[in-house]
Amino acid sequence: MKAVFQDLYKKYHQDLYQFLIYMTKDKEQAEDLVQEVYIKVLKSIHTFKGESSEKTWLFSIARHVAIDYFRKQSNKRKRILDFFDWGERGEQLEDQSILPEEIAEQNEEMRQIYRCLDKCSLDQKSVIILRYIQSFSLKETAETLGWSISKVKTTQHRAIKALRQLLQQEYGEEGDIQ
Amino acid sequence: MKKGWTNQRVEDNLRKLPVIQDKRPENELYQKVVKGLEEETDRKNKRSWKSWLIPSLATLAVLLLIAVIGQSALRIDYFTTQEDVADTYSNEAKKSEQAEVMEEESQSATSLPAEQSESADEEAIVKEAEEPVSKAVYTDSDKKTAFDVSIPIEGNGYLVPLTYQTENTSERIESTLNQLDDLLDPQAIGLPSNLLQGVTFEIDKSNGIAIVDFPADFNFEDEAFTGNVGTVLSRLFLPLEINQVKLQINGNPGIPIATKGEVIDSLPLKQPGSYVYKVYQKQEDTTPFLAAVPVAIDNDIEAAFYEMRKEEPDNNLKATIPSGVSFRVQKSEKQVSVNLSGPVANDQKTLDMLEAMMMTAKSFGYQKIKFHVPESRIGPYDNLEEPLEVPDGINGQ
Repeated sequence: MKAVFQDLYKKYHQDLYQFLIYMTKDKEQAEDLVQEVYIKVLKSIHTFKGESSEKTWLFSIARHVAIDYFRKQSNKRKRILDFFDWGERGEQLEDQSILPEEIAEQNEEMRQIYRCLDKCSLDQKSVIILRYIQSFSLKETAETLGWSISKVKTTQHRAIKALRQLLQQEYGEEGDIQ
Repeated sequence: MKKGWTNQRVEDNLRKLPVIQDKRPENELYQKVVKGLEEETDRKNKRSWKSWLIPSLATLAVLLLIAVIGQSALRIDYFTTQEDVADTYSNEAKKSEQAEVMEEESQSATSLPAEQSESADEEAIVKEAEEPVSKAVYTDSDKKTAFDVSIPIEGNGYLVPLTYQTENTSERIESTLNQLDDLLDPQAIGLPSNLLQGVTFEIDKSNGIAIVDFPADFNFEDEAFTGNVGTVLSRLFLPLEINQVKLQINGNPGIPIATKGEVIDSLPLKQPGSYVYKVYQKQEDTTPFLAAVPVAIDNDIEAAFYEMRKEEPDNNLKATIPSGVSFRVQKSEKQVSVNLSGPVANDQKTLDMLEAMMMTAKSFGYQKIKFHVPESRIGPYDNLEEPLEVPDGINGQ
């Protein structure tokens, strides 16, 4: 088992971690989730039929682990909002999560993009991370998400448009760059 | 100088987002993973202990009950006095009491696994993790078109359509078709050869004409060619609104048709008949495709769906509607509505079934299909509440 782990770690670990940190925007959470991904992978490696590549199989598991985390978070959040009866006001609460140091060191424009990325839908965010940050090909992205290549293209196009509009709404038409 | 947000600016910045690395030592993570796996195994062992103990107790109770019933039956045979009958009634009452107890126990045995079902959920997540891959193709803009290069497979008239997308202009279609030999390596993906290997094309969409030029050494006597060339070219060109095909060899008009013993320089295209779709997979380790299987069924989509239940191992085809899945069909002019029950999940088998049904419905002239299924999402179809458009193509390349 150790050999399998070492092999996967060597080939994919930093990419997996990076995918999860951009998905969750939380360092500690990404550390826990990446661990969960390995547990699921090692438990089910015998069921891997090779219908997709090892890499896309691994990332599709990572995405499901992330989705599962979001689902639990959303239920928890809803319970809290219901309890305090914050309703819609609660949904508008500012995101105060701490920026990872790698992002904090970037210029304001990059920090804006990082923040707005989180406001895209889960599908849009997944496509953007895989295509632009992880540099996955269209085929790899399609395999990871279980979509057709045309759906990847369409979602990618819409995601960029949505992100641009979010940036315009949040930071004005011009952005903050001099 | 300020500049506005543009898609390009957003894309450029996304590409520049920094690499974020996990700085924990590899071994530390490995130890945590091992610990996590051990904890899961412990939980499972506890569950499995409970999972056999309670059903065993329930079984024991059943055996006890049978013994009691057996005894009381014997007593009815031997004693017929009122008192004995009353005694029997009282036994019956006991039996019914015991039956209730047993039922409760057996219920607790079946409902037992709140934990067990949790574990089933977890396993489902792992299974689900191998996300089903869609084979359907939808063109993503009005400017694009899709066309099928059909590869004949085992079985008379059976084909695997491979769909290519391109801009809907003569130049782009022609250019894609003329690159096919580079783009497509059928053997590498577990398919027989492309009938149109080595062929070059000239496309004139405005006049609805295609010129198909075969190389001088082309084997026109090949059975797959003579049997399928008409269908393959019809399936390729008719959706592109090309109705006339001129045939030539190395620039000279006319090709020999072995079965007819004559030379023809044009081919009348005709609408291919009806098809049902099944999974074609040459070997376990080759790519599965949805294959078009010709059927002599007109206007009866339900009969077509029943055809999709049939396995054809001799032709390397698997049924796309599993025998455990039952369906009810309702039709309107352009839409078919299918109520599916049985083992339906967000997995490859179900996704193949749905897409095979959509393609079959398309072949029967329907434009939309509405699925009534117990799942809210299957593969990329995340809004199954709404009818789905039939795909523009299948087995996208």
